[in-house]
Amino acid sequence: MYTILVCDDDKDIVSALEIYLTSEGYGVVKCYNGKEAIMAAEQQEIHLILMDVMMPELDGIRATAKLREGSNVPIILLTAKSEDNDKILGLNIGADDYITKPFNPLEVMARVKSQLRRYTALGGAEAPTNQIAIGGISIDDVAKQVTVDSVPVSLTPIEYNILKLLMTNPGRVFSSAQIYEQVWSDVAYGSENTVAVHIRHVREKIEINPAEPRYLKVVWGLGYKMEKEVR
Amino acid sequence: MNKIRGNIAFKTMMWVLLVATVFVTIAVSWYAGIGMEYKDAENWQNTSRYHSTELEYRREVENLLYKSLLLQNSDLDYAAEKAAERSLQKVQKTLDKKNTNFRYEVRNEDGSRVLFTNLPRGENLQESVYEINYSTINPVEFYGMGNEPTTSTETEITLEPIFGDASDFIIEALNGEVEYNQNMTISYGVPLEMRNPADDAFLIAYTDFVNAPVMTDGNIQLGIFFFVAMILFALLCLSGILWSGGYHKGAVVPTPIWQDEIWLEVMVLLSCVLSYASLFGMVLTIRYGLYSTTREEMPNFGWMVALAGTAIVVVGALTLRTLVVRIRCRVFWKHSVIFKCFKYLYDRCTEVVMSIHFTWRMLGGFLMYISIRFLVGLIFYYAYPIPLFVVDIMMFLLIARWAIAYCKVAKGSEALSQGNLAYRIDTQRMPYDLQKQAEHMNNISLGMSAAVEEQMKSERFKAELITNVSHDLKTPLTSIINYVDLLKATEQTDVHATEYIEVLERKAQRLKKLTEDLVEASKASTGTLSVNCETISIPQLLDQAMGEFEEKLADRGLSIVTTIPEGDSFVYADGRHLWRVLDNLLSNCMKYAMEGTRVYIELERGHGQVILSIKNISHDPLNVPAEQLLERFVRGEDSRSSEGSGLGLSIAKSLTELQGGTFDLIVDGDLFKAVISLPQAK
Repeated sequence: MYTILVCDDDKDIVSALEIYLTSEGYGVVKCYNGKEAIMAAEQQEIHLILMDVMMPELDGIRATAKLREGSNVPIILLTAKSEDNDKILGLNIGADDYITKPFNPLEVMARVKSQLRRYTALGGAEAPTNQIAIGGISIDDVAKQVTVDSVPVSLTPIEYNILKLLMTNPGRVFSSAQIYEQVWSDVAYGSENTVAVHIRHVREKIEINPAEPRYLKVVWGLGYKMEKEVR
Repeated sequence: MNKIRGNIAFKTMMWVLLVATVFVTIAVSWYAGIGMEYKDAENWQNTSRYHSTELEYRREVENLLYKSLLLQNSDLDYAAEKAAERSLQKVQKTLDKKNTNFRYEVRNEDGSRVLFTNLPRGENLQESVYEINYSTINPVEFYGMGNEPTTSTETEITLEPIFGDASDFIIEALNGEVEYNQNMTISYGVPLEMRNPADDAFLIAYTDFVNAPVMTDGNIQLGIFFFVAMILFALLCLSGILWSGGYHKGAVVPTPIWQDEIWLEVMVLLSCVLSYASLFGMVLTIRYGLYSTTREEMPNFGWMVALAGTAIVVVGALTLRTLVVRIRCRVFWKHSVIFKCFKYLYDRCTEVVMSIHFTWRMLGGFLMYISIRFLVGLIFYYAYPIPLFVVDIMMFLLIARWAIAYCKVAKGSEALSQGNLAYRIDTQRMPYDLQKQAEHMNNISLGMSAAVEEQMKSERFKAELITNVSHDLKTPLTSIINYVDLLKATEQTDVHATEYIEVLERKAQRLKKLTEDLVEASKASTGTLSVNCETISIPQLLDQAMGEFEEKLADRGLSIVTTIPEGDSFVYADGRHLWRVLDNLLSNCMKYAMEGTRVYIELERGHGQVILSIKNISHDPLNVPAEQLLERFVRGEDSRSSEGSGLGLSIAKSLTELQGGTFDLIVDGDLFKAVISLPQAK
């Protein structure tokens, strides 16, 4: 059983999260500001931290920085701030993920599971050569099997080929036409539309929140790409 | 340089050096002058000073003879006799051997008898003096008295006694009768060496001579060199003072001090009076010094002369300094009576002229020009064309001045009309009327920029308020969403409860969207959003958008018809923001388009622009004008019953404009058309 530390100055939010987490079978430690969180993390073994940014005494950013000094426990920040700068600051300081309020509880659970799997599987077996892994996604070209955070996902052959193309060239932006030519092995002629639809389907299958993808990013007006590295 | 100029220590040093140099130069020159006077003299009796003093004393002896002669005359009345006696006593006192170093003998015609002398008993004139001079006088003939008594009142007055009692006085011959009508011989002289000297003019001459510097050709040259050097040094100090005049510590431009604000005329007068007073004092000192007859009376006038001379130089230097500072600060005439008078007159005249209406003023000016031309033509009839030419040139310059100023005003108003509120017209050196005009224009732009500033401030404040409020709304909203979700999972006894919970959930989601849109709208409209532009392809973007929306639109029975021209249509924009614009527009289609209709998406290129238009038929009648649809919180129907925040179009417009494009809406009946135009990338 994993123990999760939930830290927010709003007690109702903490209680709600506690209900969800306990129903998923996790142990919960509740804290109401950054200082308490640091003390709790020192006293007992914590496997994941859900932390609010704006808190009295010690805010989430500072607490994260403090915790990172001696621990690599996954930290997911929860905040009402949604500016890009805040996200970048939070991730740079050592947080592993970022969820903006108001959040969907199911999304929070999905992210918690994803982070825990990655944390506990850390230092696991090296991926075989016929496997490509980025973040929590791995693709086995022999078995034609895709897993997201160790959970198998079923894709159609075309979806699989698109994902494989993007994952073998992480960071590179492919336009719809390029993807069509590579996957369909045909000249793109007004059929790019299909590519966009397929990509959306892939995204819906591998992403926790398809509207804010972490792996398969839409570069608007240019094409699609796979993130090189995902926390 | 300005640091030295403004340094108070430097100025003080210059002044001290100037005063010291001048003082020393005058004092030393005075001293050297005395030396020059005695340059060729072997001893002190070989000087003109000695000779003139000796002559004076001989006159005293002659006076003694005269007074004695007068007293011998028994015809004098009592008062005259007393006066003569007192006068005689005075002369006797002057010639007393205790009071003077002068020694004399008066002998009768054959030289056998000493009639008058101040030689001590048993002393010989030859031995006691250095050089004997002789003079012969017949008192009776000399004073022209004959045997007749003189009782003129005039004589009495000149004999008015000055000194008190006569002192001990040895004149052997006075006791006996003296025949005055004979050629008497006065032999006189002064000892060369002063032993127990009496304090008289001779002693002064003697001490002056002894104390005087010995002037050889060598030290004369040295003296001249010294003199020239000192004068040059004083000039150097003076130029230092003038150079630094007006500069102060920390100030870049020279500024006048109180001295430079005294009226010019008063200042010049004051310096004349002061220097004249010093000069007068100097002359007075010299005269007094030269005429003193005793050592005791004589002042140390070399120093006093130097002091007076220094005072003159200081006054002169102060005057020069203030003149230079006035010129340097361009206030030479400003603080002067003449200027004040002229300025007063000019101001009053200007006031009167300017109170006349502009039209009449121009007319008057023209009439004046005509009359001046006429008068000049009349007066300078013979040199006819040249003076008229001068008048015309002046007129031309006046018109040119007006034209230049007018251009400035015109340029300023053009800048203002183009919205450059920071532009200020330079109103310096402008004719009065245009200057007023320009000042008014400046005031307009000043007021306008203040208003714009105020507006910006309130906009920023509003955006900040919106951001803060929505942040505060998000926290309780999180709890609402979470607990509604938890409630959904629980077992409900009431049949309606599930229904209610669904309503709660829907509204909570709506509230969430609303707060997010609100923040976005305020950020987009105030431009606080960061824009990272790059070259992006519109067809690609459209394709991606189709991928996101096609199925959702198809679910609503809407089909999309796209018209995309051949070739690339690139624009320079931020893909994320442009996606947001498309997202909002397509979402609107989804929400408001009539089911079963087509949505037309057209792309055009031309005139350096890429134009994207999205057309659809509205489900509800659009009873709101297009401009109003772009306002925040306005939706197609007034009931506001549908979902949506009413911010979508406003955000789309703001975002498009943020990327340098334009966003237009056209409403024609139920046809709703959005047109996005962005500059085409090369």
